[in-house]
Amino acid sequence: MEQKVERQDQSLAPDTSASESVKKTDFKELLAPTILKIKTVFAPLQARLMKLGKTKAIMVSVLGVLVFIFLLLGVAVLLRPGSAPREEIKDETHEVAPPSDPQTLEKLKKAKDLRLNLGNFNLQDISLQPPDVDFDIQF
Amino acid sequence: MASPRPIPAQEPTPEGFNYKKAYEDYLFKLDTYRKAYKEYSDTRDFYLQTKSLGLKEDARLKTQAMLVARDDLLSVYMITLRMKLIDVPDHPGQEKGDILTEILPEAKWYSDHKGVYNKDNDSLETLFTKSEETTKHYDQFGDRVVYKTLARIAFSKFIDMKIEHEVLYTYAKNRLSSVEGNKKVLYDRWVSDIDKKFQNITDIQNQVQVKLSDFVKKPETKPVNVYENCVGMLVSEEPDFVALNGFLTEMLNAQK
Repeated sequence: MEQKVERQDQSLAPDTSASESVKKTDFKELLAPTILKIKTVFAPLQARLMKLGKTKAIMVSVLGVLVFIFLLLGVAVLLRPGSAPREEIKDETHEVAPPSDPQTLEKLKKAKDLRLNLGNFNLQDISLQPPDVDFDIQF
Repeated sequence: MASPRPIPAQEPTPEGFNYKKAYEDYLFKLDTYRKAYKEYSDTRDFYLQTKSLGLKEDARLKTQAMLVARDDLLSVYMITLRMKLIDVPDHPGQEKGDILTEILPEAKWYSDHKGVYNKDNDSLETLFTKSEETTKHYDQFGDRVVYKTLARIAFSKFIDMKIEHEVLYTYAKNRLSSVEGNKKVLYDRWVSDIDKKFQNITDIQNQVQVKLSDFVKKPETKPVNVYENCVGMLVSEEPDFVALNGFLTEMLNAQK
């Protein structure tokens, strides 16, 4: 009785091996024209590589792959988010047109010059420090 | 023996002689001294290794040359300081006459003293004794004059920077004096902030002014310590100057 049930179960289960082989065949058939095209395109290249000999062919292939990777990286860097030039942050709270009268412009220039001088606020003037002389000359 | 003597502060300076020229002379003398010192040092070491009469004579000659170069350098250094001080603007209450009166005799003392080292007659021991005179004189007078001058130069630069900003401030305030309404309220707040910065700078100026008198009032204090103290206080005001400059620039850019 148990054997019968088992057999019945087996007959009810779908035949997966058959469907998989069908799928594989379909997939291969689907890709066949594309693969053929790629082979056709790369056939002259392959022929040339074969002429070069095995070592050189490997070297050229590796170089080609490296160039391809670098190109991809370059494109990735260019397209990464935030690579576009940022807009300058403007202080819009007190945005005013610069003064146009020459006297004020002259004073602004003076303020700028003073600010530059502050950058060199060299009050200790190293160049004028006392020379390092030896006062103790006993042998 | 040379000794400090009073010389008019405004003693005429040779035509065409300025700080730049004085500084070039100083660098040349510094180079000469360093070469002389190297030769002195080498011959002294040779003599100390092998105490022969010949090596002692070499050491004596090189010592004499180095001592002359040392006095010469100190003299030129004092003149360079004097020329720098002359270039610095004179401010009320900060007249330079007193220091100029002190510094010139110092320069002359070393210039005269370099002639006391006799190349032919002085023994090594005599040279050492004469060298002591320079050491004592520098400790007693030179050191104090040098740091007093350096402190005055730094202080003058500081006051000059303050005055330059005050001129800009007066202009900026006058420019906005006719503004009324909300803008006037805003600009009054700016003026208040700027006044605070000026007050900080003036406070330090007054403190340093008092500190500078330590050169005279506290002879026991090392001059270099008084100088470093003063300069430290002045330099601490740099952030206030930077902020003040920024405020004034904003004020000059402000709309009437």
